[in-house]
Amino acid sequence: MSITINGVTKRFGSFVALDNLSLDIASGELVALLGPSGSGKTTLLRIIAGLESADDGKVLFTGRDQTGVGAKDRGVGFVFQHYALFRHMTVAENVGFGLSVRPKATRPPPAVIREKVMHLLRMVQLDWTADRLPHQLSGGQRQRVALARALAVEPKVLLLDEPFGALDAKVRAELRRWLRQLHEQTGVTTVFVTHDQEEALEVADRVVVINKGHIEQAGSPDEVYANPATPFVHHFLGTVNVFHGRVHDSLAAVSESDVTFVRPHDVGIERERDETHSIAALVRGVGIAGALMRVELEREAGGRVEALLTHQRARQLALEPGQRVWVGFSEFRTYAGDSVPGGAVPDYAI
Amino acid sequence: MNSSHSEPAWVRRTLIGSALAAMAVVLVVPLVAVFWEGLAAGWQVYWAAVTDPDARHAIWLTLLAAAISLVINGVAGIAAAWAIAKFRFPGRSLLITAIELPFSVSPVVVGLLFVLLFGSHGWFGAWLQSHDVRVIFAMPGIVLATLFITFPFVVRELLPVMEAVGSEEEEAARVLGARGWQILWRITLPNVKWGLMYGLILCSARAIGEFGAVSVVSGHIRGETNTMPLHVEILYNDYQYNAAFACASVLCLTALVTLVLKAVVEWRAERALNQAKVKGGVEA
Amino acid sequence: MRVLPGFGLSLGITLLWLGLLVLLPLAALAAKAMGMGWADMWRVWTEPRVIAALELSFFTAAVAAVVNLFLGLLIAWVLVRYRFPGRKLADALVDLPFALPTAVAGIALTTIYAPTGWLGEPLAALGIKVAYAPLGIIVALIFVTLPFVVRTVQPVLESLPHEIEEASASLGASRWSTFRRVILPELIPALATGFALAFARGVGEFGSVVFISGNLPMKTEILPLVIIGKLDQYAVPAATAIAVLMLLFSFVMLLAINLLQRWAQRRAVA
Repeated sequence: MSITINGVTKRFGSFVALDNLSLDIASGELVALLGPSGSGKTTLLRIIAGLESADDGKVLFTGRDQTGVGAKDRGVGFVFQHYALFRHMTVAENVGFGLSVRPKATRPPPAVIREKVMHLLRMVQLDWTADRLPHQLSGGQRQRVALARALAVEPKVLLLDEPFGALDAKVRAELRRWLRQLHEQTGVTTVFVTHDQEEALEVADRVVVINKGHIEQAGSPDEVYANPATPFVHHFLGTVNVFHGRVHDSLAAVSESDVTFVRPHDVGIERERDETHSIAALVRGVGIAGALMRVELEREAGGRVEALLTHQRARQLALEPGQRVWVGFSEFRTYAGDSVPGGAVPDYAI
Repeated sequence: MNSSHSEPAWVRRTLIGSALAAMAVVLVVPLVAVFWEGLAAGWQVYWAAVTDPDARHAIWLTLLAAAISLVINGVAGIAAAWAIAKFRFPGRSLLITAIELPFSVSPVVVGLLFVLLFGSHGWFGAWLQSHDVRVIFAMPGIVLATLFITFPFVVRELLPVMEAVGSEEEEAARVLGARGWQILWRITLPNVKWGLMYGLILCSARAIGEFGAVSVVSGHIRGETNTMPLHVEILYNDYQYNAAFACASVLCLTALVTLVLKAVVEWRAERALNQAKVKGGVEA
Repeated sequence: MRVLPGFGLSLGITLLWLGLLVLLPLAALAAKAMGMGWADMWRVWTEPRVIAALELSFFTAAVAAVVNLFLGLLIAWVLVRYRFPGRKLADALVDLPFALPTAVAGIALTTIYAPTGWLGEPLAALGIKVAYAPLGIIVALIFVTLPFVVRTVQPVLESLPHEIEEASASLGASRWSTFRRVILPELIPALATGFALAFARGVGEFGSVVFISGNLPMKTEILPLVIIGKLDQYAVPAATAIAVLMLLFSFVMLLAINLLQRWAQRRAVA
């Protein structure tokens, strides 16, 4: 089922959570709504589910207007941030709830419900917890139960609110892979909300970056990462070095109001000056950042620069604190000053 | 215990001793006195007093008034807690204050309120008389006074629990297709059952024991409009002390049962709350 | 559109229930009072018997509330801070006055404090008359309002972090000055709330007092009893006038208690 969001606006008092936002989600897509807290992404998800009503605009499922259709009748699966498992019901009762509340005419017999519940629990590898209560499970297990419960009603759309927000790093990584797999198996249109850019880029087919109630950019993970449409997207997806002024081949500032972003892994370091490495800097510190090495530099003209090098390259350069090196940028992007939002605070100036 | 936030042993012992002594004099002595005086003339007198037809009728009337209060204030209390906890609307805090109002009205004034409504010179007095319906000095008046007195108990206990639990589970049930009654029966009530129980226990204890309000509207007709506390009063004023205390001891027992139930429910509610906290908490 | 259903139904039930059971009777009282006019009402309020009862009710309720301020603090302190055998039982027993029918408390206290009673006799030998005197009313009110201060102070005392006491001790304060200057100020909003609750209840209390007071007009007759007396003489307007007075007092106390609780909550958050 496809989802069309058509000019949706939502206000809470004087605060505008969503500002005339439009978005098309194709049937079977796996979409991430990515943005900082307060950007309106959760509000959008809740409006799609019918848990919140828009002040203006429409949500359509395969072309059918959902205004006036309550959350009860939209046929969506919703996974809450804190799972919202029914605390007094067993895991099996939780998963079977959606089927057991159907009107008599369409309600499957108990045996069928039980079978379906066990099938889903096997799918999330939790069939052994069927008779436990939610508080006896770990966070990751509860998350999977919440997913199974949402899937039990065979929703046409699966919506997840910060699905991995409250879990530790290792469980998160596991569940991300698992969510992708699940999506491949079921093919159900899936939208999830996250503030974690890594999660969005890794899991989704398409990433929708939301800020202050509007869409900054929507595109494949490659697209938004490699070709950020706005400084906000550039800044929000990964770390950047920020320079005031336009970068020329000589790296001289031309327009004071412009801003240039450079990702740390696009910063090159040479021991000798050459055409592309023409900024003089001092090494302030070298440290391990997982698979890469992080080098902290201070430009002689003032301002700090962060670079990420491979371990091999770092060994070649044999960098030491206090050493003088030459820096250049293999990739950078300059934005007109007035397009830079307040959120992207320039840390360094050219 | 760390010495920086504790007192010397002698201070501790003195404080505990004086607190317990005070509680003994203020609370325990009257309790003991009731049973002592009730049994002073022996078991036979005691048994005769509590099985007397008037006493039995008083017990029945007391339980009836309490049961009606439990049902009406319970059901309406659940509705009120639902409206107040789950929704935001203008006048909401005014409504909360209005619901608490009956607590601050003196019982005798409560009785007077119903006399003003249903008494022979009251708003509905003439109409009631012409239709030969008695409210004051009859069972309906007693029930109404009891309803007023016990009005806020259930909502007051339910509301904070409902607000603490939040609405996420109800929303989840809604998305899964549950209808209103299904949400109430299968999600909300099981989650707040200890708060509800607590409210019902307090409500029934107060309903059984209410004296002032019921006294004004009852007319003290033996075997007809006497509740248990009024029956005790009449016996006492008739100098039938042993019978009065025998009946009082029955009321004492219900009070003690109330205290035990209260302690149990408090303990269970605390446990449920802790589990909820564990569940809601972020994974360590 | 609201996500959860039943708003109209539940609010409808609530308003019907509140309207019929509480607001309608209060409206009847208001209407009756309006019909009387201020002059008649004032005349009732200034009857010597009413003034005497008013003074007695307020005086005894105030004394009982003050006694319970100290007694309640002591009991709350001991129950929260110390571990001793029987603590749980004592804790449960604090609610006895709430659970025990007031008439039962009334006759029990009267029997104990009567000149021939367990405690009345030795006290009479010392020349102290309890039952059928204002002191008896105070004793009854102490019993009835004991739980208020204990139950408002207890949770505050429980949530008080030990760190502030340790900090005070580490700064060289003695245990007594820590209590007086660090702990007590934290408890003041709760103590004030408990006091107000006890006082309000004491002024309106009837069942436990009516037996022990002796009900001598001008001497030991409390305000609620004057209402009953007027009703017995079919003087409904006079009873209404006194009820209006008591109700006004109740609303003022309700407002005061609400403000105190808000103050206490703000303190708890800070």
